[in-house]
Amino acid sequence: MSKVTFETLRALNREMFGGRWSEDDLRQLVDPRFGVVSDFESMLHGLERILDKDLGDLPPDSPVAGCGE
Amino acid sequence: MSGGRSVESFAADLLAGRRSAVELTKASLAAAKRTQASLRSFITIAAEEALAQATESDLRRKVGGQLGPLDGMPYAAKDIFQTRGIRTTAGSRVLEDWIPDRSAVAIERLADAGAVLIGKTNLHEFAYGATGENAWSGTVANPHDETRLAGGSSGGSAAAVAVGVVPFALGTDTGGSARVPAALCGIAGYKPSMGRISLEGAIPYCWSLDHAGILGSTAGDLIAVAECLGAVGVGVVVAALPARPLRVGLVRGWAERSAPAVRQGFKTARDALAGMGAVLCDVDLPDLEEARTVSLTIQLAETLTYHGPNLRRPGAAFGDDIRAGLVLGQFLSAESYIQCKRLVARYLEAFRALFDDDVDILLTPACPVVAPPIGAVHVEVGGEKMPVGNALTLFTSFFNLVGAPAVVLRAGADPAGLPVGVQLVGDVGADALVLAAAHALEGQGLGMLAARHP
Repeated sequence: MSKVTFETLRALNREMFGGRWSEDDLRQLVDPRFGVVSDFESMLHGLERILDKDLGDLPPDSPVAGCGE
Repeated sequence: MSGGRSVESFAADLLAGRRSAVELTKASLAAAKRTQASLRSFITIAAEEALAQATESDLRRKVGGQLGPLDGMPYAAKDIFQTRGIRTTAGSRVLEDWIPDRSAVAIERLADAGAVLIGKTNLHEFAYGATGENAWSGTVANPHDETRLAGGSSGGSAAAVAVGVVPFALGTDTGGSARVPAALCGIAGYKPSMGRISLEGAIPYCWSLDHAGILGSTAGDLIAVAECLGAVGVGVVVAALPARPLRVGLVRGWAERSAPAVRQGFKTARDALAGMGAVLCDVDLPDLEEARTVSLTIQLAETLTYHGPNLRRPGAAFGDDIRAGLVLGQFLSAESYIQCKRLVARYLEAFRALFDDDVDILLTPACPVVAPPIGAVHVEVGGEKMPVGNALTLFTSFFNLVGAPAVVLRAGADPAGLPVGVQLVGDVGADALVLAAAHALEGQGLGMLAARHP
């Protein structure tokens, strides 16, 4: 997978998300200023590895709420 | 530890008639106002409402009608719990004028027990982030060093307890948002098993991972409040420790990745458990970096779904850092979200298997570092440069994925006096055992570090 560019994000924002995001918002994805969470590129690399995992027929998690003692 | 500021000591004062609920509430309100300029713990201080509640409590006590140990006890709640008639902002300009017409279930339960809500505490906007930074409401400062973070997102609740404004406070915890600030501020924090404490009426951040949280001075305080909120019974906690030696799992590699003072705190707790006769063994958990990506994918997709309609509202003014998370969520695929939810199922199987065979509880460091400076973007963990938020939740966020109960306790301080914490974690549903183990560990000398703030 090649590095996502600002131009690609701008085009996706316009064509798929109705221009919902400002250019400042999109710039955070290629040039992050905050240290709150992983940056976009790290997330995509991490997800690439996760999507490669063969989990067989395992379904998504089921709720565990309210489990007794 | 907390001097005369624990739930237990407040309850004893009320019971003996040494102080009235109105006196305690006035003292809490004065402390909240006195520390607000430096710590920024509160978004709203509800003096009038609190004094009315306290007056009612004193009237009940006069006629022998007190409601229980929390009747007349001042407390604070993270400003993400809806409060009828009191502004609820979630730390966001988006909701700066919102006054709900109902209260969250947890707030109602505490009101029914006679507890006195003195105010709504500051947080990372909409609970997005473990740093507690907030450009609109101000960043909560650490009471042990005001140039450093109190942590987040429940930073205001932790700072208010650490500095003695209130004996306990409510928070929430999606990846460590109650436990991280508890650790950085040197107090006790409890994240129950998922769903054990109702979040109905709290503004959601991520439905799949949101948990309630309690912050207090001691494990005993956590137990008293948890009982009031229906999470555990005190009697069950008292009987929870097994007659045989406790089997404690130490997650391989976690302490080694931590700062020297954190490692020392972990060793102190480990040795204390061994001194109590516990049997220690090493255990493995799934890769932390992978689990972090799983957690963030679920968080950002869900929080975008919740906040999306507000993005379209004219004049909606989210802060820049939460917008950066929301836009990141926009570019994650549905396939990624579902695959991450499938990995959670795999994690849960592996996690619960630990408790089938080898261990009763886990002991881990709470955070790998002490409180970072306000404004830091990256910190070093085990020789690796990491975003601050990722570092702070490194050892906490996995346990939200599996819905397990966890308690954080102070286990020492670094040479500059900044607290370090350890975390006890149990199998899903084993809240009583985790709280009992924390209480026993406190008996060995671990516990709250009183803040130096006046």
